[in-house]
Amino acid sequence: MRRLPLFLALATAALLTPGLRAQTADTPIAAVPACPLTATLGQLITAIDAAVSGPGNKDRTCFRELFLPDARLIPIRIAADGTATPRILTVQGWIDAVAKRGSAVFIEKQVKVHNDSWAHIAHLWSTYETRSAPDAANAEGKLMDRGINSIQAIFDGKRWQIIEITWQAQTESDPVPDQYLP
Amino acid sequence: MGSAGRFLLTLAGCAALFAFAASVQAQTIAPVCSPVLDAHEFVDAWTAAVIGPANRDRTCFRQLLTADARLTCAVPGKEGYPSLVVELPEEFIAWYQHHGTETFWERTLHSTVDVYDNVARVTRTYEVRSSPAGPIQSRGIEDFQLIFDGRGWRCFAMLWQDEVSGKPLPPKYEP
Repeated sequence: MRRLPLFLALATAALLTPGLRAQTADTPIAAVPACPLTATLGQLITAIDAAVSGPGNKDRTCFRELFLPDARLIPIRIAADGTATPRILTVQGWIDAVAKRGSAVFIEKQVKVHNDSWAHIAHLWSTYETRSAPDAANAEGKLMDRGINSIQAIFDGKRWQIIEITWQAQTESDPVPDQYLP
Repeated sequence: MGSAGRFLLTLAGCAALFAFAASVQAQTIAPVCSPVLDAHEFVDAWTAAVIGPANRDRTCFRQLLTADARLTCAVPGKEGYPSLVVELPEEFIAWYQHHGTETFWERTLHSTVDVYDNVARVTRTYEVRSSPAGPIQSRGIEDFQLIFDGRGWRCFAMLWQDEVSGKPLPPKYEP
């Protein structure tokens, strides 16, 4: 990787990432007391499950708090011929898409996570499961789907936030490999 | 000038024209960039596309990235708050172009790879020098989000941070 002069980085960052600077320097975490802290990567994983799960049209304040302003959410779609195509969403784009499900509940849980992290950057390679709402017949809810979340996160000194997340749901022909299952 | 002289002149002209055309063709032939068909080989392809004179041809580098890729550098700042430098591929390449013939050389110290179907991620520790025997100029970690688009693995998000004093790379990310 190229060397990045510090003064250039700081100058450029001031122009390109006003959202991040505003969040990290000006907005106290206490401004959103109802949302869980994400001071560790373990807390971030727990917070993702909590923020994603629930009715499709639930309040997404805490979901937004998990992401940097310019974050991208990228589901991978597999065409009939097997070709993979990324669909790039903003945070609001994801919220709008999921809200179309209305009050239908689904639960997401990260069931096995491997992370690499150092200093201000981290990668989480996480196997997720989605389930229907728990009921009398099934306390955990019915298993609906499974796949891989691949997450890049930034630590601003107090909390981890997501900058990129991509995911691919498993298919019958390509189930999640055993090595990524609990 | 006699007909023999005109013939020789024409012949010489044709030869010069042919040589010029061949020269132009040699200059415009695009380099052969082998697609990365195994995500485990991505880091080697990346290194090969990055090292060398800063103003080298970047055709192969571009082919390792999706058109809408983002390359994000975290720069530690005061009081523990980082700043982010977010660049598109052409902005990233422009940085190199501005450094003319300055040479970059780097190698991978350690890497980990996870792959599932069409998505993969690679995390690697890098070391930068100006030449293979030159002093170490910087080290750090790069994290790549990859997608297989049917023709090869490409990066659509790269996140990186240079090592800074007081925050050495952990032993587990060293060779």
